[in-house]
Amino acid sequence: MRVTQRMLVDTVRLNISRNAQSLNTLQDQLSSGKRLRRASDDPASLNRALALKAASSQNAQYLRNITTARGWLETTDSALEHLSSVLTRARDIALRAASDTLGVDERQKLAGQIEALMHEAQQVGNTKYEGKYIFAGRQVGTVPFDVTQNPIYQGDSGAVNREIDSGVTIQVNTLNSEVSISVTDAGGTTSFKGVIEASLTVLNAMKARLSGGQGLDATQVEQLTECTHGVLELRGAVGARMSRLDATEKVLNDSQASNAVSLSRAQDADVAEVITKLMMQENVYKAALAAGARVVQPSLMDFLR
Amino acid sequence: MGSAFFGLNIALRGLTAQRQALDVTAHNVSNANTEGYTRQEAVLKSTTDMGWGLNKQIGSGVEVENVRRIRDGLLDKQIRNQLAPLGTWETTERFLEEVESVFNEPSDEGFSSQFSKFWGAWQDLSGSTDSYAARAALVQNASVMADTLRRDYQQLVDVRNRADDEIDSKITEVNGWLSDIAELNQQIANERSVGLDPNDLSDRRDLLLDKVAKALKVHYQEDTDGSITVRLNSSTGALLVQADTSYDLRRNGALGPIQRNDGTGTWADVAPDDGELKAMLELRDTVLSTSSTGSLAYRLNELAKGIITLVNSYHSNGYGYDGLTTGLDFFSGSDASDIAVSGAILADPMKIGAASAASEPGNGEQAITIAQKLLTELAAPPGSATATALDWYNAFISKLGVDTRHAKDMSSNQQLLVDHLKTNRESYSGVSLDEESINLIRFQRAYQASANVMSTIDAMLEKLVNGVGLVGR
Repeated sequence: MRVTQRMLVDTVRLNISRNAQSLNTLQDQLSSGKRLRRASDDPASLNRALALKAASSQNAQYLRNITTARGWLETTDSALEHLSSVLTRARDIALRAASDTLGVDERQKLAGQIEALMHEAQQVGNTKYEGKYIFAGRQVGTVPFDVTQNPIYQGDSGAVNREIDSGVTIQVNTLNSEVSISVTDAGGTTSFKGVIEASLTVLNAMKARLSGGQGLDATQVEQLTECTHGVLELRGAVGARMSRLDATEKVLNDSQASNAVSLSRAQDADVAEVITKLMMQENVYKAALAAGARVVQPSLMDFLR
Repeated sequence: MGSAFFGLNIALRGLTAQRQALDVTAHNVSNANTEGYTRQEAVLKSTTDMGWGLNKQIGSGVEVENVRRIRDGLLDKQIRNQLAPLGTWETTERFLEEVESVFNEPSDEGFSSQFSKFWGAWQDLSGSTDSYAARAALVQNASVMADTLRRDYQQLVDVRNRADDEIDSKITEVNGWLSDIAELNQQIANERSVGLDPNDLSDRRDLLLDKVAKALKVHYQEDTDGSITVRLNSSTGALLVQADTSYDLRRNGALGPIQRNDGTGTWADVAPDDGELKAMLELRDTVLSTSSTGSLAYRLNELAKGIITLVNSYHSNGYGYDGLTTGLDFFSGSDASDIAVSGAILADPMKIGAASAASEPGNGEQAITIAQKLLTELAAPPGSATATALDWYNAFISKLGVDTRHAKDMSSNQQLLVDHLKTNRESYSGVSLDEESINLIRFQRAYQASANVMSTIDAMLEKLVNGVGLVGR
C-alpha cells in the first residue's frame, strides 16, 4: 500500500483522539464512581436502576413512616402505663375508703386525693404527640376529655393510619372505644363507656361519694379493677402493633440492603476494573503520543543534501 | 537527411518537458495539505520519430502529453454511498444525545426522583394533616415535579425547533454546493472542449460532491462532455444538477417538508432516503414531534395527563383541614405543556384534600389512598391505561437509551468504514512528499542532462562553423 505523509498524520491524529476519548470515559467513571452516566451508557441496566432507585426511595419513606408510627405508639404506651399507675393508686384509696371506720373528714380528704388522680388521668387522656391529641380519634385538634361536669369524651372513633409498606397500613392511634367497660357514674346511671372515659367516670363517681361523706362499696373497686384490665388490654394491642412495626422494619431494612447492592451493580463502576483499564489506557495514550512525535518528523527531505 | 541543428531541438524538448514535469511536482508539493487535492502526474511521451533516410529512424525527443489526475472514480462512488448513512447516524446520535440530556436520567434531578419525592410528600402529609409545613412541602414537591415535566416538554420542543432550523440552514448550504457544481460543470466542459485537462476544477467538484453526498443520498454520473448529472436518491430520482443548471431545494415554511424547484418555479415535495437532511426530517417529524403518536413529547404528555387525572380524581373526593372544602382539583392543566399545582391549593395548602370524610382534621386516609394509587394505578396512556406512571416513564426512557446507543454504535461503525475508504483514497490519490522529492531529483537530473546535450551539440557546431574550412590558410 502506498503511504503518504497525510495518512501518517491522520492515523496518528485519529488514534490519539480515540485514545483520549476512552481515557475521558474511564476518568469520568472513576471520578464519579458511576458506570451509568447517561441512558445510552447501558439501556438494559438503566431500566433496572430506575426501578431500584424508586423502590429504594419508597422503602426509605416507609421506614420514615414507621419511625413516626413508633413515636405515636410509644407515647400511647407510656401514657397508658401512667394511667395504670393512677388507677392502682385510686384502687388503694378506694380500698381504704371502703372501710366503715373512716370519718367524714377523712373521706373528704380522700376525695381531694381522688380528684387529683382524676385530673392526672384526664391529663393522660389529653396526651399530645407532635401537637396532636392521640386519644381523640381523628379530632386531633380537639381536647378529648373534659371533666368539668360528668366526664365526657369529645373525640371521635376514627382511626389514624400510616402506610408502612406497599399496601400495608397500621393504625397508630389508640381509641378510647377499643375496650368498653360498664361503669356507674356519679348520678348512679350505669352504661358502657370507652376505657379512659370509664376510668374518669369511676374516679368522678368516687370523688362525688367521698366528698359527700359517703363510703365506697365493692362496685367502685370492681369497676376500677375492670378499668385497669381494660388499660392493660389496650397496652397489649399497642404492643402488638409495635411488634408488627418491628417486623416490617426488619423486612424493609433487608430489602433496602439488597436494593442497594443491586443498584450498585446496575449503575456503579467497578473501581478496581476501571483503574486497571485506566492504567492500560494511559500507557496506550502515551505510546500514541510518542508515535506521533516520532513518525511525523522525518521525511526524505532530512536526508537529501 | 536531418538538419545539423536537429539535436539542439531534441535537447530543447527535453529541457521543456523536464521543466514542465518539475512544475507539476512543485504543484503537488504545494498542495500536499489541500483538502480534496488529487496528485497529478505529467505523462511524458516520446515525440514522433523522423525518417532519416532508408530504414533509419531516429527519435525526435520528448513532450508532455498531458497532466493527469491520479484518481479512482469507483472508490469515490463507494465513499459517497457510505457518506449518506454516516450523515444519518451522526445526526441522529447528536440529536438523541441532546434529548437524553433533557431527561437527565439517571440523576436526582430527573422526573423519576421528583416523582418519588412527590409520593413521599403525600405519605408525610397522611401522618401530619394538621401541619402547614407538611402541606406546604407537598405543594413544593408537586410544583417541582410539574416544573420538571413542563421543562422537559419545553426542551423537547426546543430541540425539535433546532432540528427544523438546521434543516433550513443545511438546505441553504446544499443549494450553494449544487450551484457551484453546476458552474464547475460548465467550466470543465469548456476546458475539455479545447483539449485542456481541468484537473483542479475536477478536484473542487469532487469535494463538493462529497459534501452533498453526506447531506443527501445522491446518484451521479459523468457525461461525455465531462460535466456530471446529480439526482436525488437514485438514477430515476429528481434532478439536482444537470450540465450548467442546478435545481434549488427549500424547506416549505416552519416544520414543512423539503421541496424542489423544477426550474420553472413550481415546487414539489421531495424526500431524501438517507443523509443528514433525512435524519433531521425524520427526527423532527417522529421522535421529536409534539403530535405524532409514539414521539417523546407525546409520551411525556400521556404521563402528565395520567398523573393529573389520577391525582385529581382522588383528590376531589378528599376534604381539606377545615373539614368542609371538597371537590378541588390538585393539578391544573391538561398535559406536560401546562401541568401545574392548581391556584386554590397554591393559595391555601390547608385545602389539600387529605381527609376521606368531612370534619375529621386528623384523617389522612385520602392522602394514603393517593400515595397508594400513584404507585399502583395504571395511569398512562389515559383511556386505555397499560402502565403505572413510573413504569410508563421508565419504559420510554429505556427506549430512548436503546435508540441512542444504537445510533452511537451505527455512527461509529459507519465512521470506521468511511475512514477506511478515505484512507484507501488517500493512499491512491494523496501526495507523498518522499515520492515528490525523488521526482524532483529525477527531473532535475534529466534537465541537467538535456542541458549537457545542448552544450555538447553547441561545441560540435562551434567546431563545424568556426573550425572547418580553414585548411591551408
